[in-house]
Amino acid sequence: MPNSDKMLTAIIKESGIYQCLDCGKCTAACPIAETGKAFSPRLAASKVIENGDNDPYVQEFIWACLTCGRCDGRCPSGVKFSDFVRMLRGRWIDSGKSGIYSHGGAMLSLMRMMSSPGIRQNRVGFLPPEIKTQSRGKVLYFVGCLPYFDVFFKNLDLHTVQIAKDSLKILNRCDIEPVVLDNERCCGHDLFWAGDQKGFARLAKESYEEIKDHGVEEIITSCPECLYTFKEIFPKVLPNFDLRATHIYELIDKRLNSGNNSLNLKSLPLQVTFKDSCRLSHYRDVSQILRKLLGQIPHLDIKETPDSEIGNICCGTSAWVGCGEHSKKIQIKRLKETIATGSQLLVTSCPKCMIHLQCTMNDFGYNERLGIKDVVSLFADALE
Amino acid sequence: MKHKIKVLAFLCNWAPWSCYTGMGDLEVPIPGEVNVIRVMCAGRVNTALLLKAFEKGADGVLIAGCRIDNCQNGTGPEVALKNIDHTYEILNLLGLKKERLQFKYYLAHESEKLSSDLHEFVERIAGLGKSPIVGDQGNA
Repeated sequence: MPNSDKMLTAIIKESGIYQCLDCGKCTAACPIAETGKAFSPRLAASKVIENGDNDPYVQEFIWACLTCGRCDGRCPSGVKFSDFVRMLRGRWIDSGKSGIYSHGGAMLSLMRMMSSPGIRQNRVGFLPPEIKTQSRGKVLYFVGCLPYFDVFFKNLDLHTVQIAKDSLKILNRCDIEPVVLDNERCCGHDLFWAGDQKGFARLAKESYEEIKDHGVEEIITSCPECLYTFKEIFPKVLPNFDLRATHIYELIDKRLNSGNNSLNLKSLPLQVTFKDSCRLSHYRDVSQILRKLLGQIPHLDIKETPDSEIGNICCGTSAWVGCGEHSKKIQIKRLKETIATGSQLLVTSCPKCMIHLQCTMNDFGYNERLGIKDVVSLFADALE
Repeated sequence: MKHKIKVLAFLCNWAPWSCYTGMGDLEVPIPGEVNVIRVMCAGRVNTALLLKAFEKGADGVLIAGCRIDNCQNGTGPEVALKNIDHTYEILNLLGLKKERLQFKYYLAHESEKLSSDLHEFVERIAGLGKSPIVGDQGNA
């Protein structure tokens, strides 16, 4: 590595790459390496230290990594490989090159457009009349990308806005009438992880201001990535960030614990398998709460697969960066494992897992044997 | 000229491109607001490219394809129309008027039609004003 490259040195220091002991646990944990690709985080790390990031192996590595964080969780030295990849992507983009994006980068285009101050979106057309919301208030329900997903992935015939409808139904049951913004701006999770740091900073500022303008103090979300971004990233980018972020699972759990009978559950005689999301299983400890919640639904039989909780594998692609042969292999593995448990329903906690797994289910005919649903929707089904 | 509108025209390589080169031969004026991109087929312009155009600051986007029975590739104009309908739904969520995106078809000799369509489109976009999206802000 050229000694003069201060930026690269800073990236290496910040992600703790010098602490790498070359033990290889990262490669053993990596879902991509598991599918047979010659893919090694430790090799990429040592190549960057030796030769900088112009090495072809490193260049392929940074756009093939899922940033799922499975290696981060296993590394005995606490190396933050995902952050390392994210920062290298940022360097790549800052040098004027374009990244390798799935869907032609359309999702990232949408996010950048949402960072324009003058934009006035119409995103709450999906709200059913019986749902009670407010235009101003202390609690906000953050819908996320769902309305855009349903339009963009029309061919998959998925209805991810159902997650928002069910979340709002649950919130109304808990006597919460949240603010839902017609001009809600994306949380920017994917811009951040795809390395567009400037784009993310612009979007975060606009998003925060939009939320603050409505008198909001607490954000409730049903999306693991929005939760993660508001909790972990916004405070780093916006020094005056003062909003509390809560996952809807935490809220439901509190209500159930306090003996509130507005959430009485009826029997749901179903066998389901749960697919954790990367951001919940590796970054936040909400995945335990969610198993506890599902466990309270009478007659719901939860069959776990080996790749669950901390061993969770990614749904094959994240932050709309790359989707190829190895993504498909990961998805097929996960779906086969689920079908082997005998479950009829795969329950996800992230709308992107839902999109990616449904895509493979449709392509390979697994959709005849398996359905897919979000945890919130399953919980809403169990409400009396 | 700071607030001059920007119009992007995707021209299919076959009939529309022939109209475009013909515009030069006939000395038909091309509006200064129009930037032209030559593509191999109108059907090649997918939703992601259309969104990219608006992201980068286009105030209006016109796709010029061949007439539906005259496509070299068979289904180009149909695919283009499908992509445009898909993009309309996203533009609606974003709060951008669908009038900012249009499809027109041409036969190879229709240079004057292309010229008048471009002028008309520029006028329409000027009427709608600048897009609320702040154009290219650096990162790709």
